[in-house]
Amino acid sequence: MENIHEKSIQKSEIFKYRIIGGYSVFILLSSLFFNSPKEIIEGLFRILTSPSLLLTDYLVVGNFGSTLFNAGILMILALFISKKNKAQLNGPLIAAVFTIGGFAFFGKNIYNVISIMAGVYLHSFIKKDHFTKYLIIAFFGTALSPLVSQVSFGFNFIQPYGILLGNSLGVLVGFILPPMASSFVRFHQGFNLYNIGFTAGITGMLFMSFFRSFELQNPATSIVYEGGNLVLSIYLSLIFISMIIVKIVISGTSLEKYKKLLKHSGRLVTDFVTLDGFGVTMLNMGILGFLGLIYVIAVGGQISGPVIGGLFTVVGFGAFGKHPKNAIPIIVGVYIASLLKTWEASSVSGLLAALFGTTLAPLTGQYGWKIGVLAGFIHMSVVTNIGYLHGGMNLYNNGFSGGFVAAIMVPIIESFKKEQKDER
Amino acid sequence: MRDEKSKLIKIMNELARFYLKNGIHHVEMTLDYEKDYGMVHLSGCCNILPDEVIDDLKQILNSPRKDETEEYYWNLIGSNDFSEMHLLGSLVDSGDVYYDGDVLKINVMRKH
Repeated sequence: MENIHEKSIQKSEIFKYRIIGGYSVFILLSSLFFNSPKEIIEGLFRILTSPSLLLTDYLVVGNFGSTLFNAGILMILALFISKKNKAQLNGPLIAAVFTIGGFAFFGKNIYNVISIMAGVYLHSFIKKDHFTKYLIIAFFGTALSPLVSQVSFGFNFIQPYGILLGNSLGVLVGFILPPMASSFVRFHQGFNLYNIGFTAGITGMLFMSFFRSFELQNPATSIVYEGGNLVLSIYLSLIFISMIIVKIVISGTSLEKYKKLLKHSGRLVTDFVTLDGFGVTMLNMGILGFLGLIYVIAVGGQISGPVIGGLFTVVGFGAFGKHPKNAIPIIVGVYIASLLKTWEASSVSGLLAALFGTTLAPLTGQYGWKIGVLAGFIHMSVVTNIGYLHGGMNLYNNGFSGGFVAAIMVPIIESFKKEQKDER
Repeated sequence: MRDEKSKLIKIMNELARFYLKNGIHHVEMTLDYEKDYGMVHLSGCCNILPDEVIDDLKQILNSPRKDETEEYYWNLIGSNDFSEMHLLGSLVDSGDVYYDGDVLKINVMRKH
């Protein structure tokens, strides 16, 4: 009996790996649709040697083809490592694979992620523990990959010392991340989905403090692509609609399970794949993708590398905590903030705050839409104020901000809830 | 090994919360920490629990262990006001649930 159960799990795992692997291969191969192999290689070289600080759009630094190639190869690498370690491809790992793919449009590349992953592996090796337990930290930990690139190529160190120092720091970062990530998750009590974003923000702040004390400064960087809305909308729509088709093929057109999925608060750890099934999770991912894309176009925004990164991350976390019901109020809050504050909703920072701000979706899920709107409103101010701390070396700046917002809001809300209970 | 003890304590906390949240206010707990595994035993009374709560509990405690989420999220269980029973299910190897309409007994085992 147990044997049959194990075989059925293995079969479903192979299926999930094939589907998510299919998206990775599609993204990789689609690079050839935009550029020739020669152009892709040239663009990739520029990407790999870029300091990659926030915001460095690889669509500008390289080209469409090389950026898609970079995204595809990183997603395949993440899947290969997961499969090699016999990891179950559930919500957290699907979120990690799409997040890595998304940030491969603006900050992560095959050069700057390796040393951080190696550092996490070293941690597990020294602790004589299975690397499987650390996979998610290794993948999300690549949030700090600009640190590797900036030290390697941005500070003008003599080579190969720059590259050696950059990678050594990458290994060090990866090595210290696991205990920090595990500890910091308590800070926001699981209400910030991009927990590593908070951990990486603190780590990035530590390293940036050292750099500044040696008069090493990171330049303010804003390289953002514009003018590709039509092509990129079609490209992204193809991906999102195929996710909805995958759901229909797996479990038909019934929406019963989806109604159940929408009832989850989304607070860590809510793995939709385990709780509601792979098919309905794919549907949720596709719907969230369209939701984000429609928002970007509706407010008059430009689809750039960072925006695609935001959309991919929202889609990935459609397997691990986010759904339209808990995400929309956050986006509304960010939008209201952009009407009242100094940022335009269509600006890159406005768009990224709306998309990545959904890291706080569990607040809506737990406490209702009004709290969600308030969280989005507060998040917009905090996220634009904290990038200086890590000098743009933490790609998950919204996760950093989300940690603070959740840590401030949750105890206040809970204290009032408790007082009400005591009064009764 | 230090983490193993902490994890076992948190598993016990989470299960104790499960009892209290379900209106069972008299709970006895014992903990066995052996070389290769740890076990937590809880017994409490008295409240009438719906069948679906018991069925869900059995399913959660016997769901496959998930190494992927362990190191990153284990600190969330048993540490705040929010239920993390699904996370607990991914941290334990097996669980027995006995309920006779009055007393609820839970035995949970986690291999190191």
